[in-house]
Amino acid sequence: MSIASFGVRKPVVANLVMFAIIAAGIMFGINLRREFFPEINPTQVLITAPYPGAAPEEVESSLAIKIEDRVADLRDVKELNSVVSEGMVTIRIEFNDGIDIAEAVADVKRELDALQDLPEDAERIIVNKFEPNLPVIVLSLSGYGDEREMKRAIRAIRDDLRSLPDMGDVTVSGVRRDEVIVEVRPAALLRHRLSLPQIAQQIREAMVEVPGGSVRSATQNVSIRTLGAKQRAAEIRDIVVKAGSEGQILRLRDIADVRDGFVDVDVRVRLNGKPSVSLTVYKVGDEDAVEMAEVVKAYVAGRTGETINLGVGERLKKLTRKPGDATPVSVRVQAYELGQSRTTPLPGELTLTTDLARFIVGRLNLLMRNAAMGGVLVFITLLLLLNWRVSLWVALGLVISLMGTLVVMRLVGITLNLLTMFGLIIVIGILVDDAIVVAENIIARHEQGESAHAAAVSGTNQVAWPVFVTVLTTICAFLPLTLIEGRIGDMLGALPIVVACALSVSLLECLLILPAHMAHSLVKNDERHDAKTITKFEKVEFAFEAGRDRLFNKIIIQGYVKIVRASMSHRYLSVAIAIAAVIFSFGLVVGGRLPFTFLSSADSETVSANLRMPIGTPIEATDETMRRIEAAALGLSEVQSIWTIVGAVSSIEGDAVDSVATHLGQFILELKPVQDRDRTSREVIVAWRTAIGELPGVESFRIEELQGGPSGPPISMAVVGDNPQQLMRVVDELKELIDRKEGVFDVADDSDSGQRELRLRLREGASELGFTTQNIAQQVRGAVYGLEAFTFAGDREDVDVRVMLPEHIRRSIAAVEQLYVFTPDGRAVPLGEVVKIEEAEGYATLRRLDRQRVVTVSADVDESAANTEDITRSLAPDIARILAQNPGIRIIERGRQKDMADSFASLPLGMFAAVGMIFVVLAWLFSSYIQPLIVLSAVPFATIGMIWGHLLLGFDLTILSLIGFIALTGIVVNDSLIFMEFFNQKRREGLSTFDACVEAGRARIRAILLTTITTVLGLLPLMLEKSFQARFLIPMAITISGGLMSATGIILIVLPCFLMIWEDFKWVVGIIWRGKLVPSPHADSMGGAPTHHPVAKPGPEI
Amino acid sequence: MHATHPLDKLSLASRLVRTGVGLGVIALAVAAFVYLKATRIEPATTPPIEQSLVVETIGALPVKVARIWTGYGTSRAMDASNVSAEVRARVIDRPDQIEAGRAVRAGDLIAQLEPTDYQQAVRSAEQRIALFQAQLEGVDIRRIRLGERVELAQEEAGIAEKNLERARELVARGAGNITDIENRLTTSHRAQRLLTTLLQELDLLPTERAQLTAQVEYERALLRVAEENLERTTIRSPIDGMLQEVYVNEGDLLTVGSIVARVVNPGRLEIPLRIPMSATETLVIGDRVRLTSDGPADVGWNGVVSRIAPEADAGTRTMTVFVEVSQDLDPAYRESRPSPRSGDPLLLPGQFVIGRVFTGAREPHIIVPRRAVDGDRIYLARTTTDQGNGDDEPIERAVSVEVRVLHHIEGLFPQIHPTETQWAVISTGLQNGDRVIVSNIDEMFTGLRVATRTAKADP
Repeated sequence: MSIASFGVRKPVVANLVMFAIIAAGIMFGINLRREFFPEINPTQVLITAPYPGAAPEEVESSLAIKIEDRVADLRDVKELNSVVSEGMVTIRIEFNDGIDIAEAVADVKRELDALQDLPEDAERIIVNKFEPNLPVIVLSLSGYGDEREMKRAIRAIRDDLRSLPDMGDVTVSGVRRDEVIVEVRPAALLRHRLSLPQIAQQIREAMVEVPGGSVRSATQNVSIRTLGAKQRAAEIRDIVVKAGSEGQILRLRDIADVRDGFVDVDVRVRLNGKPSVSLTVYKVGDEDAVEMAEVVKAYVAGRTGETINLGVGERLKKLTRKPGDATPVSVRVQAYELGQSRTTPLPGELTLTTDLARFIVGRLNLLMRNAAMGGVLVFITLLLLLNWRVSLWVALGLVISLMGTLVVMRLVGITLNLLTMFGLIIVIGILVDDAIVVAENIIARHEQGESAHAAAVSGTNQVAWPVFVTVLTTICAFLPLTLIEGRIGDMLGALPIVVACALSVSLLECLLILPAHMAHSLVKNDERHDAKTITKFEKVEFAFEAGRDRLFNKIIIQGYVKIVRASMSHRYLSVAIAIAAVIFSFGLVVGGRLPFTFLSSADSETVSANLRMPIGTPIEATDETMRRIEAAALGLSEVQSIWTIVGAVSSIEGDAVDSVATHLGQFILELKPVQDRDRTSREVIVAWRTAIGELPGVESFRIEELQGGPSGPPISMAVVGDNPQQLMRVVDELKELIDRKEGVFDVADDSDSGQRELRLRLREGASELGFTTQNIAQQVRGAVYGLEAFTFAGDREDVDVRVMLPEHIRRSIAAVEQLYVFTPDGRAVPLGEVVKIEEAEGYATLRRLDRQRVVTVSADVDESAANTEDITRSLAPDIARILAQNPGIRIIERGRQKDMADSFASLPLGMFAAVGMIFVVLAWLFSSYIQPLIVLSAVPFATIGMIWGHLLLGFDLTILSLIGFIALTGIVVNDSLIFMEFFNQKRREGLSTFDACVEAGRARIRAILLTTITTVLGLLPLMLEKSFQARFLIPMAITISGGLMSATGIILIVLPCFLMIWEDFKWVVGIIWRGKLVPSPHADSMGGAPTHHPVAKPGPEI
Repeated sequence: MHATHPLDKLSLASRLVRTGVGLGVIALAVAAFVYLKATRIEPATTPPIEQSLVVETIGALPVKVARIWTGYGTSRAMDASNVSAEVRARVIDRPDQIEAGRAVRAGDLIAQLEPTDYQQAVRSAEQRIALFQAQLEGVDIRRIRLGERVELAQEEAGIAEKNLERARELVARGAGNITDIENRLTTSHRAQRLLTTLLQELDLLPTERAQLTAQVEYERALLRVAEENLERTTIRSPIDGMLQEVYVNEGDLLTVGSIVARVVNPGRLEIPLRIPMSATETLVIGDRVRLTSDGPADVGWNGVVSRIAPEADAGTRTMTVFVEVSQDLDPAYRESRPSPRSGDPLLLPGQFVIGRVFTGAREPHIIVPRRAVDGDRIYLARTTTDQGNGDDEPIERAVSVEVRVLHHIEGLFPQIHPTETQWAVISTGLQNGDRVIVSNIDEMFTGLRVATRTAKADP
């Protein structure tokens, strides 16, 4: 018993399955986790090795290189990326995809445990997996309140949010760590002959608490503990730092100002020009980003006295809960009530920014709208081209398939995101294909005289294999997308799974549920036909169907038959024309008429700008420039909020290590929604730049629009080598080369050399006084940076007691040069008398790639004036020359180029895999080696539609267009497969190749056109979408639609020619093989009427 | 059924035409392909357009700047006195205003000691002097009387001699007898003996007088001591100044040498300041010194180097300079705590201070921000006209010049740069008016085209 026969015999079961799928789909669909992009499995391990106080070059030689050498040979290591800064090295190890990250972390830890000769002062090395956290929403508290108050308030909010379920990671930023500052008066040091290390030591000894064991008497055990000074500034002040033999006591308060303060970090954060502290809610696990944002918004609403509207679910829950039950109906309401319960006034204004949910909801809604419109278009098409009952059942099949897909997605753990939603849109048109085939065949068989139930079973069974194979080939075409490498590949990984889920459910639906419905429908239809009376509606329906069938049978099919006959008669010419069309279309791409861009750019609602001043620029100078830029941005009406960070640059996407330095700054601008402004983000950026004017002293100011896909500068190249001088020479040459290209601007590199430093070298004779390098270094470090005397656990953070000199000395080079240092016996000696002070330049940060020094050159491209990919391609010969002239140097493409190279490298593999799998499936279906090739021969011709589709719709070819082409192979072969299957059948019935082709075309044109039209119409709303939010996906939709259209034409017209040519080929080979002329395989049919012509039937034939 | 291939039915011309058209179509497509490829618009490479790097400049301006040396020391008063007791006595009075921290004038009473003993001593001495004076007067009277008796005795002796002579003459003449001579001789001897006794008595009188005179003088000396001791029972401030400390209270018994109080004059102080010995080269007497105490950084005093110790201390690599500080005290200081006219706190003797010695400010030097100096070079912006490009418009280029940095200083020079505080003092290599590039030094090289913007104060 086949599945179809089971469904027809047990319609109740089929219906129950249908209802179950629909109900489960609705239930699971509502609760399906929403996010921006699919989750990516972490493949990176982060090593953080602190070496406090050491210069970058010292950290590199004594720590970074040793660690790198140790971990470089680990299995599956793809790339080592190190950032060496003052007192620390951070090494990011990228492993190959598919690695078990926990195992990788363990491997790295094991290797590092074996490291022996590390510097004494180096602290514990920390190894973690590197998981880019996705910031969901940022809550800022801005105003001119007291810093401690602001910190207390934002941390209280953080604690509140953390107390709510599923809130991911809530991180406070913009606040400084608490610190007890012991600011020693330099005169007091000289007067009392005390050095900073001595004072730090005294504090340490006074604060430490030492367990003294326990006295075990006969009756009890008593613990003994030596209590140190409490961690309060008041008690620390009373610590005795020096005592005389006659009882004189010098307390810390006599020589120092002790106060509770903050770590001396030069980072300033502002929101819309006001000082700000903020907390970022990161999504770290299975949380729903949209829900998280809603909870935060509700909390803020409660806190600020606003009201919230309850959702339908919440209202229902409220209505149905037990009387007296006061538990909140949802986490959102719980957050709101929590916010309401907090009555302490805030020292600033609460603002929500960087609301990822806005983008997620916006984009998902957009895609859902497109999907719904696509579905409606498909349904209308079905109504127009099929019997309306069939249309209804087919459309119901679409709904069941989509619902089933949602269920499978939920069970498999796939989220609803931009890519999975896109996958659903793609399959909308494809999902109906199998149902169309099955339904039409059932009708055909019923019309041939079979009973409704028998037709439903036999009609389904007859096409079950072809339908199964079409589904299989489509899945086979999508599956290789998982092989695409790079960030694009990571994102597209979820697409095949969604497509496979949807098609599988669709297959089940059309084999089990659809026959049951069709049988029932045909029975009812028969009853209706048997009835004597015909309603007006039925009259109109019959008239419409008669007219439609006439159109098809008399005009379209007849016209097609004429064309296909002519083309087969001139098959070589036809094929030549098709090939010529392909060549010409390719010419448009190769000739640059259809530009290739890695990813299309469009309007954006978030703009990020990074400022880089010359290294060593004080925070005040950087801030002054930042304020100018900030003021210019605040003057733009399109700017909704501007977040300014002075002294640090962080990754807005949470995928990189933050850089902290006084010469850096960052802006994050949120623009008003596209519909609320007249200018595009690009125009706003131009206006911003104009308003800013000249920026003297600025090294680079790079503005970037943050869009849907991977971000980063358009041009990014890493120059790698061991010789720093040679490296910088090449970097300069490369920069000049790039700068010459028209349309390129903001060429910069990330070399952090040029950091001014004072180098202290012990003078001869200093050792006579008892000085050592370490001794001097400790004292100078204490004076400039401060010495950590003691660290204790504060309120969820470690609090240092730091001994240092007053700020006016710490901030003055001259004052540092004039310092006095102390001999071990307490004599004060001028620093300049015992050390030689030299000014020099060093590195603020050193970057390394795969154990070599690296400097990355980046540049922006004005996309309206130049094409990035053209520019990078045109640079290739010059880069080759530079490399030839500089042995030992490598230039590696990074960022966008790396993504593109990764994707391009895996494209042929993906294509090969898709074609290979499809070939195997077709060979199995056709039991032939050649026919699959003929079926696949339609694929190259799909490029015509792909290229012209992009040209006509005004889109550049993108990497997604090419990836879409792989997926297209599976869809294209469905049409040719349907054709071939019927062709073979006709051949088996004894028709000549020519006639079989004509008959196959005649019989299949309707089904082929219908599947093509439904697929194209399913994608049409997305292709015509003007909103920027999913614009980068459109090229893939164009490829599938355009390619399918051109391939359909080729399949209907040129594929028969191929079949004929194959027969010609076999004939010629036969002549050569046998050595004599044999009758032509087309002899009976060419140029004449067919020997056997099936009777035209009113309905379509399958 | 046809026995031949259908193509055979076609004429050769038809076949040729079909083949030709087919090939032609493909050839056309290939030609179009080649044409499109050949006419592809490659990214334009512009001739290296020289972009101007926008940099900040300052105008080189000579200013008198001093090299600063930092040292430390403890101030001491140049005028100070420990007031001590000179007599042993009990304190009977200490005026109320005599307290530490109060200002005193020279001669102000600090303490009154019990004077009775010393008054008694004076009186006793005076009486003894009177006694001896009376004795002295007696001696004088005796001398007069003795003189008169000596004269009488001399006359008697003369008469006796003459009587003897006459007796002898008489005897010789025989007019007398020997007895007469002997009687007269005895009389003469008796008169001589009396005279000698009187003379002897008279001769002793000056000695006696001298003794008495000395005794009087001695007693007078004792009187003076007694009088001075009496005066010493009133202890007064020897100098104008401030009472550093008062050590006695009423009733205290003081011995000679007991310190009663310390009075110091804060108007003139001296600080032996230890400064790096490298300062020797530039240091001269008269150099200005800014002193700050172990307190608020903005409170300070000015002084000048008055002396320089000839020897440096090898153990601390320092040398000592003596800094004199004169503080102009408020005339009304007696009424309140002494304060200088300026209103700043007084530098007190004994106060530990950090001193910044400003040396070598005699000649003007060009100063530039430290960040503008790259090793021993500085970049200047010079206006030039490029030759050969047909464009004579003047442009600015960076030019590197070698300079000699004398030393570094810290301070604000708003006439040069509004906010810069760290400066390098240039001795050679720069001219007045040179435009010194102070930003983007790490990107700078000679010949780089720059667009200069003068550093201005933020409005």
